[in-house]
Amino acid sequence: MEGGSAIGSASTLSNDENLVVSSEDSSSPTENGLELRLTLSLGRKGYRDCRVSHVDDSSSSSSATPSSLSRASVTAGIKRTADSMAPTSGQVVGWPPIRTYRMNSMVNQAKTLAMEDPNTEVRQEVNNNRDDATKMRSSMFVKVTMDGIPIGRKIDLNAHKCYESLSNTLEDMFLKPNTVSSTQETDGHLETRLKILPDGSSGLVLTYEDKEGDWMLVGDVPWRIFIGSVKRLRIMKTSEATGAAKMNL
Amino acid sequence: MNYFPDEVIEHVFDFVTSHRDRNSISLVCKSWFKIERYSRQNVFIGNCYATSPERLLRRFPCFKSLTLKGKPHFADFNLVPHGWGGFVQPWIEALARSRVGLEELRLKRMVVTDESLELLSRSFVNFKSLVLVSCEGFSTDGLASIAANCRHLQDLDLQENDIDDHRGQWLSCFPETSTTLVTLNFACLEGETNLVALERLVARSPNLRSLKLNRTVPLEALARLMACAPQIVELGVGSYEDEQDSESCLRLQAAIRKCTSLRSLSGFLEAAPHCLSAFQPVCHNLTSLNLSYAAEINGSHLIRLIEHCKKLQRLWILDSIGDKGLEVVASTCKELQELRVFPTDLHGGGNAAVTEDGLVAISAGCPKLHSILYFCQQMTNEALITVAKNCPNFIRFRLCILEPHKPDHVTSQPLDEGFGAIVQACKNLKRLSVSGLLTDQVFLYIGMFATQLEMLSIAFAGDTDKGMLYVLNGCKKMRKLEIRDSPFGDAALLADVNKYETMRSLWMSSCEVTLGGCKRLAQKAPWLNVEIINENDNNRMEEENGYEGRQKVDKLYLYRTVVGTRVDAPPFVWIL
Repeated sequence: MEGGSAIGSASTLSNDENLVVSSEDSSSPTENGLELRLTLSLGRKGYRDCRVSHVDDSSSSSSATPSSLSRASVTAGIKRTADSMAPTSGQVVGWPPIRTYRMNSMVNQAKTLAMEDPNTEVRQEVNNNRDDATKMRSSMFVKVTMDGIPIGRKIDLNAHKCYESLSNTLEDMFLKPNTVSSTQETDGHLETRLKILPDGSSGLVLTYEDKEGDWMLVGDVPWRIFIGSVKRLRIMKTSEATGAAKMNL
Repeated sequence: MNYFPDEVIEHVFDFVTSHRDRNSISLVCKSWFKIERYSRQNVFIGNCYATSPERLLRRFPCFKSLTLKGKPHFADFNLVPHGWGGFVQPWIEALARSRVGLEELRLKRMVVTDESLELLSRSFVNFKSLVLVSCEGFSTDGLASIAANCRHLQDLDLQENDIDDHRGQWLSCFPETSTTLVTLNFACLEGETNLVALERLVARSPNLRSLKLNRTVPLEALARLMACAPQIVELGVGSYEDEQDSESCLRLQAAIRKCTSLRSLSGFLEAAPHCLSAFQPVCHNLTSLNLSYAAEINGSHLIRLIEHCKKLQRLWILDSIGDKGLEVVASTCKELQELRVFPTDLHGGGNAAVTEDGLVAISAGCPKLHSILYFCQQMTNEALITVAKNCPNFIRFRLCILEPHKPDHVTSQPLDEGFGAIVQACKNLKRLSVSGLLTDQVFLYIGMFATQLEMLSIAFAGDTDKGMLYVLNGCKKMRKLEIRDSPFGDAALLADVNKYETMRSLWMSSCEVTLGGCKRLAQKAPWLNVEIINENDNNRMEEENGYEGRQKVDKLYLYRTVVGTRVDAPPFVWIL
């Protein structure tokens, strides 16, 4: 989902589906860096199975799993196949149908357990699950608020593996190019590290609340540790942040 | 025709409690309508946007209990963007202004704010019961208002809500004089609570029947709490991290032995694997067991506990129990009515925890089973046909095969025949969720046989519009239809517009319906709210006038309403 292909927000699948659609439509095997092998095999009663495997896949999960099946109705044609295709259940928004509350609970449990006594058999199981969990995407939604904007957003932290992609997504969510004057265009691109850098160049700083209730600067600790302790995010104005930092010191 | 005075009729109506029955009664004649409306105590509103607080108050001036539901069901799976709606504030404001003596408020999938909770706590002197399920938007400050101001509070039941935990002292806000608590469920809170305040509260609440703790309540506290409340019937264990034979553990075991009324066990949000054994003394009386959050407890420990639970009626468990474990359930729990098996490995990684064999075993062993939610990685038609034969009593049958479009893993056929057998055998089926590889055929069966079906969830299924049409034409009692990622389009949507007046709502996302189709529907049916939810492209929809007719709609949610377009919709919701 994240990485290579040109996908912005990680919170919806529509971009991913559009990507696949365009590949399918053009009928060329390589489009946008994704190679799709489409094979048709005839089952009983003339029923067709359509297998699609991702050869060069930007997402870490589906390269490991066998190709998933996708229905191909002859009348509906290739486009609908692509539309209705679900590469792996792990990449589809809202699938499997498990309440967010339960999903978050499972992911948190996996993390907590992995940090405990390394000798129990449970940890083995959990480690397997956790490897699967990092490969596949269960959701971890946290709130994101930005000073000056009354309505908050939610972002799935498990859709990201590094601070950069998180920052990019937050920018897409909160800083639309034509509304914010503080972004700077260099070489036609928006400055990408607006929020992570605490040097105040963008006027904004990204902070998070950790398990102990303290507000911390994002970026100091390794990503995994950050994921394990973050409860919610807040984009603050630098002036406020440094004021607070001075008080803590 | 009334041969009895109104008071007598009203007294007779008192025995009719189901809201559907009361709705029917009110249709008999004007006189009954009038008597019924003044005497209705419990009002149920399944879609808060189907009506308004004003209309509620006009019709039922004397009610005491209100149940409200907000967002559509698929909001549970993040398909409804944040800010869509379902705000309870206008309801509480209107009720507060009126003279309704509200005693109970039950909300599901609604947005609740601290302000709403404060207003609620101050406006109704006899307020007794607050039940919030899958709600969001409030913090522990709101809970503090409830605790502090509701003098007669009996139930504070928070189920799977998203609550901003300020780690404050909300529990201490219950006044020392408050002794009326019957239910206290704060399992979904993430933060620390004041354990001393909690203990004192429990100790002075002799009527406390249901106590569900959150994960930050440690073992020692649990032991003391149970010692204070041996009358407890439902217990939600928070955290159970211990070394066996520690003093707390022994004290807990002693306390558990005294809890002779304990019938329901849940929680174990952070649980060491061997902790279940402490609860063995109460197993033989348990009717409800929810271990679906206890990921750390492996199958063998689960089985050792369940072997003793002969009276179990409701079991929620993780698939780590395995097919073998389900066989134990099947041979032990002959009273089982409801089973839910949740996945531990969300995306079919490899350990096939439960399969079709487990499902078949349960169906064979549990004659009273009527509700099932089963997550698994594989299924066969043969197994489903067997299940249907064994268990024709299903009221709710929800099967979720984790991988979309997955066929019968033995024959590679679609699962049409299997689900067909289920709907044909289960004549009382009210709720169905289908999954796996499915063609239009399964919907033909559903339309033909599922005459009592009220709620149907479809994902990644079907071939053509015919599928959806079979359902719309056949299922006369359909109330809620929710469809995602299936190839149904305008033809099916528009075939019978009047059908939607008989239903509460229809959800279609990632299907083939177009904006033009939705607009035509909205024109034909002004008594529907036809909502298009388009988080990313709402600007584009209006601009490309030439193509908009054919532009696919990402999410469609339509529902009947007597109050027209709602005014609180956010910009990404377009109401046609």
